[in-house]
Amino acid sequence: MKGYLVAEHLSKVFHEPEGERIAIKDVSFSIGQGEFAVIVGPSGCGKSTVLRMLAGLEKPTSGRVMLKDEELVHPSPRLSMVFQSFALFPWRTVLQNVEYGLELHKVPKPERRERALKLIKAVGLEGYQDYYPRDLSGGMKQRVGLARALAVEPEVVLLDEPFSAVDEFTAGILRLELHELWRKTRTTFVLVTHNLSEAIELGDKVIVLSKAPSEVKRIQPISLERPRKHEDEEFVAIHKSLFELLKEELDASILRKELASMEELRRLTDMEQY
Amino acid sequence: MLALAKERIKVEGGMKPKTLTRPNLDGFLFFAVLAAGWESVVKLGLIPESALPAPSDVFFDLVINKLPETVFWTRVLLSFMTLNGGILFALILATPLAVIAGLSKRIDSCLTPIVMIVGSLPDIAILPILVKWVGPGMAVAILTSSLCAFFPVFFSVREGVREIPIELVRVTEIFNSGKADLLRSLILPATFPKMVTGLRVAYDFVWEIVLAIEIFSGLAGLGHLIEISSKTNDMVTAFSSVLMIALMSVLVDKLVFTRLESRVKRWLD
Repeated sequence: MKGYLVAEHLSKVFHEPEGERIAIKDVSFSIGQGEFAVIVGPSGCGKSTVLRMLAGLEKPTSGRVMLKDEELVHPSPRLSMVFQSFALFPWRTVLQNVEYGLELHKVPKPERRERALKLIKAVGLEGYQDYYPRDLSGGMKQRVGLARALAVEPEVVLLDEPFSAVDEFTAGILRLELHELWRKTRTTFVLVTHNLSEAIELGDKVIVLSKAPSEVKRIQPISLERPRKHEDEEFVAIHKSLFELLKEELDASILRKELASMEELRRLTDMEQY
Repeated sequence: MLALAKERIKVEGGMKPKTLTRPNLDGFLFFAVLAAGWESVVKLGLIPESALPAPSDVFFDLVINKLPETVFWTRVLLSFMTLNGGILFALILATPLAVIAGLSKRIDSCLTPIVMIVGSLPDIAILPILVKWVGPGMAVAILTSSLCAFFPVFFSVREGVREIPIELVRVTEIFNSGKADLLRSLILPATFPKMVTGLRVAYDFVWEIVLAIEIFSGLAGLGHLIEISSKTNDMVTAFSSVLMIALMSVLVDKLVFTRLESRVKRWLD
């Protein structure tokens, strides 16, 4: 697989009242067409910033993002995104939310409706098209978010911790369905998560970022057969090795007494029980 | 506890809540008792009718003497036009400014202090100055009432814009929206509930200012009618005019604001 979506030496410096803060030091990776890539890293490492730079929502301080030999500077209709907080418009029904991207892309109304309804069905929300987001559970909201992102038939779907705001049981089901959708659409997926098991379950490759200022620690290809089982021997082995890698990062940051690390350690030890 | 229960219903059921509308009989009954009390107090002669007319006389005066009269309707229309002219003017002026102030911290820090200072002045105090500039008549009345409506509209829309979550802005950006799309598909619908609240507040303010202007400057609306009929001891007319104003307020509230709010309530958390 050759490079399709490529990050070339991305860096990001934020100018804050307390001075400059280097969030991303140097991040490069290459994702093949139709590949499922996952970006993991300790919290506050700038995973979401990297994703926003891929989306063209945030301008890198240096470096560039290439999509099929074309530099991405602004958000492009070839990419779409799924948000952690769902980010649905509360005043739009499920159908209207899914239609939103198509509306902005000037797709004629009958076609818009047809495509939206097809996707609502694909994410298992048939019959709910006239509901408002308020009346949906978290899992259902994220299904709408997924349908909205896929409705514009993008070449790349970026997912920013899409399951961290839903309960673990629902997240498990959504992961399976996300995998199905990816398999069927043959679209390139880039998912950001802090959940190692999620990363190994879904990714063709896992890009591990260090704590801020972040760099790529490791790019771990995963060739396990799909659908993957968490209790699989190889799965556990990869999990363990990536966990060790992340823990190093955390130990270093604990020495520096960074605030977020205790919370992260607790999260990781929870994770180890899988 | 109730909120928790509601949340649970939402999460587990994913059902559309049904809205039950039941007329509040208690309120109606209480109103009837009050009116009957008032009626009997006046009819028994405990209070002279020249000071406080009986509600039945006021009601029949409005229905029989006032409503069929064109002169009365021109007064009603004049007050109503001044009121709505002021509201409309304020809406056209305040909304764009509020959107800009809500979006840009820099403009906000220039604009909002001035709006606050001018807004804290009593409008009645500015009226003589405006009359001096514009001359008496409907124009100055509309100007003053729009000044009065400006602040509730401005602050509610500004707050609405500021409360838009950043992720919703990113959604519009990711789909490559232009400025017009941003305004049409995000800013206006997101601020709509706040705007309705602001307008409702403005409406009450502006009614008062319109009546005050009519009494003060002799503009021939309902306020003026109350003024002259009180002076000529025609208390029935004074009261039926007040009743008309009350009816108009209730009507606007039911036909406009309650409808707009129920539309918003369909989706608002």
